[in-house]
Amino acid sequence: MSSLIDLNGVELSYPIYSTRAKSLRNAIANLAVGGRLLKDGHDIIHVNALDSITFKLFDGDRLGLVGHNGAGKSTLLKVLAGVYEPDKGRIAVNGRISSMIDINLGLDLDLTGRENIITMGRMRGFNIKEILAKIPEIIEFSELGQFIDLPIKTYSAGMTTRLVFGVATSLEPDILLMDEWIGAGDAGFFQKAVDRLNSILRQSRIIVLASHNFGLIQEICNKLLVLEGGRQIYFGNTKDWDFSQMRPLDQNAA
Amino acid sequence: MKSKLFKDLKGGIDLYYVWIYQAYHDITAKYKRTVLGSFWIAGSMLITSVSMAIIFGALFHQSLHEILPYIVAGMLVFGMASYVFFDGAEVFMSSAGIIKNHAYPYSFFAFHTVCKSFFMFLHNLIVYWAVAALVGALCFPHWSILLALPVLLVFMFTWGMMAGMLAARFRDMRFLLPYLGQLFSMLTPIFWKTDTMKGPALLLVNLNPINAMVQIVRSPLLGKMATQTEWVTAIAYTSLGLLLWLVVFGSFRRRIPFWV
Repeated sequence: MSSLIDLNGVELSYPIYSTRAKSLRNAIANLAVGGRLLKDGHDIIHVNALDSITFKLFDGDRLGLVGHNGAGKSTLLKVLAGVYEPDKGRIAVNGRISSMIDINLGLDLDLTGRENIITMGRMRGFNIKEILAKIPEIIEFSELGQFIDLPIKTYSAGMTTRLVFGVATSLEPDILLMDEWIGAGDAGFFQKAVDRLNSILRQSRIIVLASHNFGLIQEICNKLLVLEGGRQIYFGNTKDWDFSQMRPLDQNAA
Repeated sequence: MKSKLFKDLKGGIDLYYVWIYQAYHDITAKYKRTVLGSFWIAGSMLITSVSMAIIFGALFHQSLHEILPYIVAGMLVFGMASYVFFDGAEVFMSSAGIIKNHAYPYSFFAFHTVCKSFFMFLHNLIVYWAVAALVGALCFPHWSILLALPVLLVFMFTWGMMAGMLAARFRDMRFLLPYLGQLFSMLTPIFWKTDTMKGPALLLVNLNPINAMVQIVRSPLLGKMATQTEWVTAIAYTSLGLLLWLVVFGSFRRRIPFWV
C-alpha cells in the first residue's frame, strides 16, 4: 500500500522582514516562542519553523498534531497544503487537498451561501455539475435552511463554520487539513462534525488535525505527531502517548 | 525547479473558468445597485479624452474628427499597457490571505488580473467605437490587432507578475510603480502626436516600451498597421519580459507566501 503523504527530513525557515532595531531583535529572542530564532547577519530574522520532520501517512490514517503555540503545527499544515515549500528534505502529497486552515478562505461576504458554495467548489477544482449535485447534502448538513439564500455577511461565526465545514467535507477531498478551529460551533454541531469526520474516514481518506483538544484527538486520530520548537518529538500511534505526562506511554515505569 | 514553474503555469491555465468568472464578477460587483453602472467604468476615460481632445486639438490645430479617436484609442490601450504599473504591483498583495492558506498556482492571480484588465478593455472598446462613430471616424480595425493583442497580453502577464513579486518583497515598489505609471503616461504619445518630432526626443519615444505596446494595438484600431520599428520594439520588450520572468519567477516563486 503506497503512502498518500510522505515527508522526509523536511526543514523550513521563514524570514521576517519587519524587524530592524537590534534591541527589538533581542526582545523577540527573549520571548517564550516555540520556534528557534536564527540570525542571518542582516536586518532579517529567520525563524526555524520546522526541523527534520519525517513521517508517512497511509489511506485511512488520521493524524493529530499537538504542540505548544508556536511549535510549528500551522506551519506544518501549510507545508502539507503546498503553501510553503520546504528548504530541505522531500515532501510527497498524493491526493486532492482540502484545507480548512482559514475559515474565511475564498468567502465573498456579499454573495449568498449558495453562491459561495459554488465559488468554494470551483476554487477546489470541481465543475458546476458536481457542485450542484452536492448542494442539497451540504444544506442539510449545515442546517442553514432558508439562510442559504441570504448573503453570508448576515451569518454568525458558527453558521459560517458549519457552511465551510459542510463544503470542505462533502466535496470528497482525499486529504483534509484542519487547524484547531473546530470549536467554533455549538455542542450539537461538534458531535455532528465528529460523526461526519468518522464517516468520511470510512471512505479511506487522510485527515490531519492540529488541536489543543486532547479529547478530540484521542477520539478521532489514530496517529500522533508531537512538535516542540519545530522539532518532531514523537510520531506514532495515539494510544501509545501519555497526554497527561506528555511523553510516550511505554516510558512510564509500570 | 523549471518543472515546478511549468506546473504552476499549467495549473493556472487549467483554472481558466475560475479566473474568467472572477474577473467578470469583480468588475460587475462594484456597480451592483447603481443605475449608471456601465457608464462609470467608461466615465473617466471619456471625460479625460474629450477634454484633452478639445485642448490639444486647439494646440495642434486639428479637428475633433482627427484627434478625438486618436486620444480615446490611446487611453483605451494605455489602460492595458500600463497594467504593470498600476495593477501589476498588487497582483499578489491583494490576494495575500488566499496565498497564505491555499496552494493556488501563483500564475492564477496573474491570469485573473490580466483578464480583468482585458475585460475592461473590451467594455471600453465599445465606447471607443461609439465615440468614433459620433465624429464620423468609425473604421474597421486592421487585422494586425489579432497579433498585437496576444503580444500585449504576454507583456502584461510577465512584467506584471514580476512587478507583483517585487512589490511584495520591497514595499516601496508598491508606491513607486504607480508614480512610474504616471510618468509613462506623460512620456507616451497619447494626447500628442510624434509627427513634428525628431532627434533625441523621438528616440526617447521610440525606446519607450509602453509606446510600442500602445502603438501595436492603437494603430490597427485607427485602421492601419503599426510601423516595423514599433513591432520590433514591442516584440523585443515582450521577449525580454518572458525571459526575465522564467528566471525571476522560477527562482523566487516559493518565497511569495513569505513576502506577502
